Amino acid sequence: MNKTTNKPMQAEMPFAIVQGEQLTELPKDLYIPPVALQVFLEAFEGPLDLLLYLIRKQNLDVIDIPIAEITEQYVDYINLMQDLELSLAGEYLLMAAMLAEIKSKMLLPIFEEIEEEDDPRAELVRRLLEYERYRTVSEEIDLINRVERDIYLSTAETGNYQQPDILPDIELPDLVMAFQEVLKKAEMFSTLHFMKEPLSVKERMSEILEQINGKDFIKFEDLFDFQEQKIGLVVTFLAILELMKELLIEVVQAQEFGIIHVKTLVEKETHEPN
Amino acid sequence: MSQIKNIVEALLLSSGEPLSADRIHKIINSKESCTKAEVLEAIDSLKIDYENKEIEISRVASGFRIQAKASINDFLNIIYAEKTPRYSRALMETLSIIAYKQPVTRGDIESIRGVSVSSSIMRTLTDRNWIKIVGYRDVPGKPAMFSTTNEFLDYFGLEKLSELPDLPDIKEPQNLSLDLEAETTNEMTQISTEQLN
Repeated sequence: MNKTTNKPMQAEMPFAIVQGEQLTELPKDLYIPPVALQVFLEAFEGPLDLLLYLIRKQNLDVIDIPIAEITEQYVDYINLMQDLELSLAGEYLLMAAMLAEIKSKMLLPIFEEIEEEDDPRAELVRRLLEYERYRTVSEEIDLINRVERDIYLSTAETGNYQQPDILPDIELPDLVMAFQEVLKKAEMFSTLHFMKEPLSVKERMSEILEQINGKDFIKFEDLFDFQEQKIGLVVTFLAILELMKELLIEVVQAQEFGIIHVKTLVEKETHEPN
Repeated sequence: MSQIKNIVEALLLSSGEPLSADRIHKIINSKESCTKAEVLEAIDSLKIDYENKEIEISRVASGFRIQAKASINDFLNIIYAEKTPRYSRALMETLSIIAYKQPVTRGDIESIRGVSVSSSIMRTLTDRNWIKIVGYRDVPGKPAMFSTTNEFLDYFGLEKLSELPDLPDIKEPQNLSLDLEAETTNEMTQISTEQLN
């Protein structure tokens, strides 16, 4: 089982040879700009990608990975990254643990009764091959002609065409919901001051009409004064309902859950003579 | 007839999205009588007209669209050079897995790529309308299952998923256990120091 003798550089992996001396540790005073390693790390799309890179770089066979060597190289990379205090994604460390597990399994003597057991590398190999399939095909997809890069769409401006506004009718529940929003907002402004306000729905109705007058639309919420107490808001709401009933205003919502708008139904002509 | 042809051309140029023959037929027919055969005839006729121009009608998943011919890309590249969005390898890998294995959950993608799925990638893919949730897998947690959309095919100028490049075959690691004994007798184990640098 022990085949390490066949592997020339199996032991400690030197980073470099300086004056004939093998360096197995990153010298403390050697400065590698962290940015450079960051770039290096970012070039890999995860531990499988890094492993495939290590395997392919040496023309090794994925199906028959020399697990001890690859594990050491992989761990060296990880250590290098850690020395540079890069925050390592957990996935990289998980892979290191997985490699170590496989390596230790392979070192154990194989007993007759468990001979049928799968090669400990099988799962890793399967994952590497599966990942490589998608990696390869994604590179091919990247080459397909695509809009914005290789295909340019021809369009014509639509000129004076204007989309007609289709405003759906609004249901009472929507209005009540909107009013609840108003109450919620008002709560944020709530301070404790008590004052008796003489509030009249009639008066509020004319105030609202005045507010809307001259404008095409006004936001439903804008009709409310959030500084007012709840009772004031309720009076405003009642006034809006009353105005709707008397067909003096129309309440519309451009889209579901959209902003509710209020619009006057009083024709402008009525304000002008003739 | 030539009137229908002109309408079809204007619709394709102004719709902002590819239109299918059925859709064009419905649109025109809602205002004046027109058969689907006439629509298809108009499209064929436009194709002939465009033979001498630098635009063409192409058919993609969502229907027909008018686009510049590749022959003038050299010019267009100048205009669009800075506007071309770039997509990372991670995004392309994620997109490929969804395209070939759909419907897939985030977990499926993670188990293939070996890294957690980036939320920003999924958001980009969803925002671009290239992928959509098609259901929830009936397992604990009810994870969402994603599939690609017609807009994805449109973007890559394709009509159907089968036009995507073939996924490479699975290499079966069957002779694995046999190789255990014969392992590492070749020169492949040579590791040079510069490879690490």
